[in-house]
Amino acid sequence: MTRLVLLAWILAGGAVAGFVFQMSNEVADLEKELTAVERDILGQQRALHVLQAEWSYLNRPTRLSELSRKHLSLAPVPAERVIGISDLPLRPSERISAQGATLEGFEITKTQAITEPQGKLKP
Amino acid sequence: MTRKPKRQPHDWSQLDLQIKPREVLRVEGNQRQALETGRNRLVFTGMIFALAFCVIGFRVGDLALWQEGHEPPLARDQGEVRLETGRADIVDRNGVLLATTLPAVSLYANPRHIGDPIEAATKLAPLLEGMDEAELTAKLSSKRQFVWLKRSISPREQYSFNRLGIPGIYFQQEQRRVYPQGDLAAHVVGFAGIDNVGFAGIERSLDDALRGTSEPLKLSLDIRVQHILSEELASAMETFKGIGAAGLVMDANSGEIIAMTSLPTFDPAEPGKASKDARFNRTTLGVYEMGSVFKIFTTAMVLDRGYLTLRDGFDTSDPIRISRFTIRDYKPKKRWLSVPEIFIYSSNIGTVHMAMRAGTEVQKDFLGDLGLLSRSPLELDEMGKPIAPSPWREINTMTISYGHGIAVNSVQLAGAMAAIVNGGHLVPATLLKREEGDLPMGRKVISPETSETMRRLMRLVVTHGTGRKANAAGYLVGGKTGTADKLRGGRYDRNSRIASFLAAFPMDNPRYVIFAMIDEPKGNEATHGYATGGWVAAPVVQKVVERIGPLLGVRPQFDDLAMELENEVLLEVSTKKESQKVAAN
Repeated sequence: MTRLVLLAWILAGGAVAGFVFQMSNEVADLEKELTAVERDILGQQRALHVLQAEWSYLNRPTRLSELSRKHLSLAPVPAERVIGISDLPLRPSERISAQGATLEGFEITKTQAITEPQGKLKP
Repeated sequence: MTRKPKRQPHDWSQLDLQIKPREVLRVEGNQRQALETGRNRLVFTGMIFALAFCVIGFRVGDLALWQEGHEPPLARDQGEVRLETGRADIVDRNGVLLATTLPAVSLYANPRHIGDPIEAATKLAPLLEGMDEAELTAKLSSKRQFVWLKRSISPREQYSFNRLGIPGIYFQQEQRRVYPQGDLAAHVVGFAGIDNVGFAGIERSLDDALRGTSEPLKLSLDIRVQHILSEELASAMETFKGIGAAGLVMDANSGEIIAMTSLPTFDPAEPGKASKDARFNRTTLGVYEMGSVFKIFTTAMVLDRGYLTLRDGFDTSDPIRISRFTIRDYKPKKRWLSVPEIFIYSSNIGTVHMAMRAGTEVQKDFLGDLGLLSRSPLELDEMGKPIAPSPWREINTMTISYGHGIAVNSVQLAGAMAAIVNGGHLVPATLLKREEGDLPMGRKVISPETSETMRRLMRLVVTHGTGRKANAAGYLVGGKTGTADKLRGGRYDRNSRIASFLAAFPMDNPRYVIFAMIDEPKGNEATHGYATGGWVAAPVVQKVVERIGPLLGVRPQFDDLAMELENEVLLEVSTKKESQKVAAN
């Protein structure tokens, strides 16, 4: 009996020691990995930092406007072309219902709507 | 003699604690005592050990059961990995990089490690500009342990130096300040030296803050607006052959400077190569007599303090003579003019009459309230102090009413303009981004009603007066022209002047103040020889507004509520004119 108990203790002790040893090994490995990852992150951050500087150098407005002049035929939007949603003319069908037109009046109203050069109608 | 109990070496049963002695020993005297002592010692030691084990046992139980239930947070102390550059980046209001610190490699030599200085010098010389072989040989054969060969070399250069394979040549990792936007915002951002010490601009004035953190510093500038303003000013400067130009765009409500340009400009990467004139910040360090734009403040003063109404006016037929000076109009109308007319036709004579109604003290207080007599609070060390007359005599009151005899910088001027148009609150100007809910209240300087009247008057200047060339379609620009002769050796020189335009838009609810100024413009054929604010600076404002309006989300307006208001004022003006004519007849 006593021997068995003792044996059990020794086995348990051995198991715990082994477990702790393995655990500490694992932790050491993880820490090594963490350091590597951190070094990697720092390297990436450094690269990112340089790339950001390069990006904003390449995107400086002076260069962009030069490129746009050379390759695009775009110009700033003139104020006349900016209007609000409420200033948009209604679609023909909507305009009819807005005017309360009957079905017979449909064709006429539609033609008018199309021939009207710049319908700035307000409902 | 004592006989020890005999045990079999491997008889485990002997270890049983309840074993009974098979032989009874009788020990007497000294020996018995020694045995007793030994036993006592054993018991004592055993108790100590038992106690220690108890303590450990309790502690184990305590840790397992009652301490924090989760795993110990070991990771907490690791912290976040973060790139430390030693000096914070500077970005614009949208986060675009204006200044950053990049790793750089510098080349140095340890002459003691160099075996053959002459051979090394022969190899190195072709790669090092500005250093001949003899100089290099001298450097490499010196007795020192460290000589710089070249600071901040490119990776390509580093490779070619490495390829030479000369022993005793080393690379040093360093940090270098880089300005990706080049000369675009050079006067605002400034520059830092090779050892990362700020020498000019924000780099200098906020040097400590920049060193203390790696969080980027957010300026109020918008680099796109900055580009547009610089481009338009540069083109006007070229057209009119000016010696310089300056301008700024300011948020009328928050006091943030959205763009600020001084021309000619310089490359912050090589400030040493720039001339003194190029490094001079005309927007902040330069104080100028601004001329007629000051009529805005004179008019606002007499209207707000109740000395005159829009229906009053003065006869401007005769020049004003005081001591040895004569005050004339640039383009005399030679008749009675109402207050709005005086303003929109920019009559010096009328403005002087207006200012004299208020008097010297009122003028001094009013200009002081607008921040025109004290140094601007802007975050730059390059900040010119305003020059005001002392003592402030009557003649000064007269000339100051139309902007002569007082010199201020552009930031002060734009700040005062912002207060006039935004409903009357003077908000301190800033180069740092202000968050939406973080706006300072500002000091009230004029009433909202006067502010509205002034906005209409300034809109009239653009629709009917001297500033017609600033009329950007749809954006309701309003403002005032300014043309001031420069002082040359104590006399005003009619041929070297400052042409400026001070504006705000849109005038029904102003969001931005714009100031444009050209230094010593010369008239050309297209302007019929004129080089006044209306011909030179107003078109700059028009072009800038048309380009930045859509960028800044200002909604164009064509159904002119403002127009009606203008007509109302104009109507008053014209009826007054008619009745006056009748009266004059």
